[in-house]
Amino acid sequence: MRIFEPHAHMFSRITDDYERMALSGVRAILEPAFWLGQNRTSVGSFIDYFDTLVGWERFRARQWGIHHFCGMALNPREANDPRVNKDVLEILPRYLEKDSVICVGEIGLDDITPIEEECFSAQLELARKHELPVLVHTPHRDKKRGFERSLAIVKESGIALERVLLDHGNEETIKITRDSGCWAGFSIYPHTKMDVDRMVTIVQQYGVEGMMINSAADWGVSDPLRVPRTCLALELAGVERDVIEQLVWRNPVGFFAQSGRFDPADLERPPNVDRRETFDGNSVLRGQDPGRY
Amino acid sequence: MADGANANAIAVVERRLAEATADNGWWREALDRATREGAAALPVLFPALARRLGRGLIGGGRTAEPSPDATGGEVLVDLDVWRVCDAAGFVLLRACTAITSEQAVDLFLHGDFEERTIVMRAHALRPVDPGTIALFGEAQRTNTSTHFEALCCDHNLPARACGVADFGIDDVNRMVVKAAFMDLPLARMFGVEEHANAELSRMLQDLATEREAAGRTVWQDTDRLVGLAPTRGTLLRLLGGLEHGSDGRRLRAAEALARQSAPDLLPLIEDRIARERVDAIRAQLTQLAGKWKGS
Ligand SMILES: [Zn+2]
Repeated sequence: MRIFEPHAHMFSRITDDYERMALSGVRAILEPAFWLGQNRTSVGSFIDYFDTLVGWERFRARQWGIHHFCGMALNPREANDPRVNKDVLEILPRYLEKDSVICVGEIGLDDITPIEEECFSAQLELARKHELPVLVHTPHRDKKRGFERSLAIVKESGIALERVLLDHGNEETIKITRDSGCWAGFSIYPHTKMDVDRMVTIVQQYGVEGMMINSAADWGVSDPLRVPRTCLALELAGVERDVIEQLVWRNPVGFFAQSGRFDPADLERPPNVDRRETFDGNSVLRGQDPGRY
Repeated sequence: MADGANANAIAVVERRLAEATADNGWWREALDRATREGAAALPVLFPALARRLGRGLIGGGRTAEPSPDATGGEVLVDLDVWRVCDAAGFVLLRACTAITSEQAVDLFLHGDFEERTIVMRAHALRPVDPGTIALFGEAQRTNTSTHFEALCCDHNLPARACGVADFGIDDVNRMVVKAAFMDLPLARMFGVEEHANAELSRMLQDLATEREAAGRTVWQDTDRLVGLAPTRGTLLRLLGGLEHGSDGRRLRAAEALARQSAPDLLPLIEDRIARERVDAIRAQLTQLAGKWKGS
């Protein structure tokens, strides 16, 4: 089973996770820019983070045969912080032009404040200007209202709705997402929020059209193997392999290919890899023989 | 004009770029924007160059260009390694009237892999300025071979820049030792041989000794470069090279010895000639022996 993981924060994960993901079928990852668990107090911290996403992180993934792409954005939480919000919006255009950047994200609402809404709209406009699809984070608190408000802002922006992925959905939001023409993302967590069993039920009830699933793995309690685990559960529940592959490969590939920044045919092969190669002098092998890892 | 080189590298770059970008609306717009807005537009234009214009090679071979700056040094560049996106990067940089050294470094530091390569390579054809010198600092800090090579190989920028502002012979020496460390051939660093000096020879010999102690291979151009500016230990190292098991190593040692003069050591050379089985090396040593006898 080939898997395109459409939402994982590898910045916060260890190299072993890449190996385990590769062994479980993950061949491509989309890493949206997000909050690092602690507020940043200057734009320079964002710049270094963005540079890591297009540089080191992409290099690290490639060592395990994984295509790494990313989203760039001012995340909703730090949109509320006047120390950084305007400056980050100002530096985004250069990063939105990078080859490996295939969406604007994650953007959206968290606490549903006016300044979050303002930054959300401004970044939808950037997505239009840079011809990129959008990954929208929806609030974990007050989800239904947050979802409706997010959708209203998206519609107001005039962006084509098939270029919008409304993430962190659940049973409550699936119908309104589908009716809107946006894509529906489901983040599968180990203990909280959406889990594997609920996801199986959703697929049995709604099919997989316009849907994708992700682990949203980050620095918190989360599991980068949630997508492969869900694949297995779906298979055991009797869902056709082809349907599962649509959910975890063809759907995300099709959605992000709207960026025009990669050719889906390139994903059929691993990225070029030389395991002795270094990035700024740094090798993930730490001096080991590349043949024996 | 340098031997064997065509003239007017910039004209070749412009012509090949024009051929590759005919009917490319994005490129016309990008060039207009750089001309209008200057260096401030580059951070959003550079990332798209490889994607929009491709990475096709422009070709053109070893090409010269009259000196673009007060150094007076003619530019020599191998256009066979240049791609359409590199050519476009050069033309965009040139379209901006003034680029500060901070702006040049910013393009490198916050560029992705391709942008970094383009910025470095494009500088080979530009006037040497503080931005060039700052980029040498970045090249010295990176271990990404492609980026180091783009600024230091396949052209004569380091040789041309030597002596400008703070970029002196010590910096060239450090750069060559780094190239040796990365196993890049001397032949790709045009004009560097002319800057051979005893201190560089000492550094290269020390690196060679350290490599030998670790049982690793030694940079193959060591003998050639130290032979141009011998220092303490050079002669012994070269003589020792004549007993090496590798034919290539013995040949390079013999070639480097041909530049030395040590008539007292003739018996050692003759001893080697008697046992040397490779014709080319024997011929080289015989010629050397003749020269030493005559001196
Ligand atoms: Zn996330």
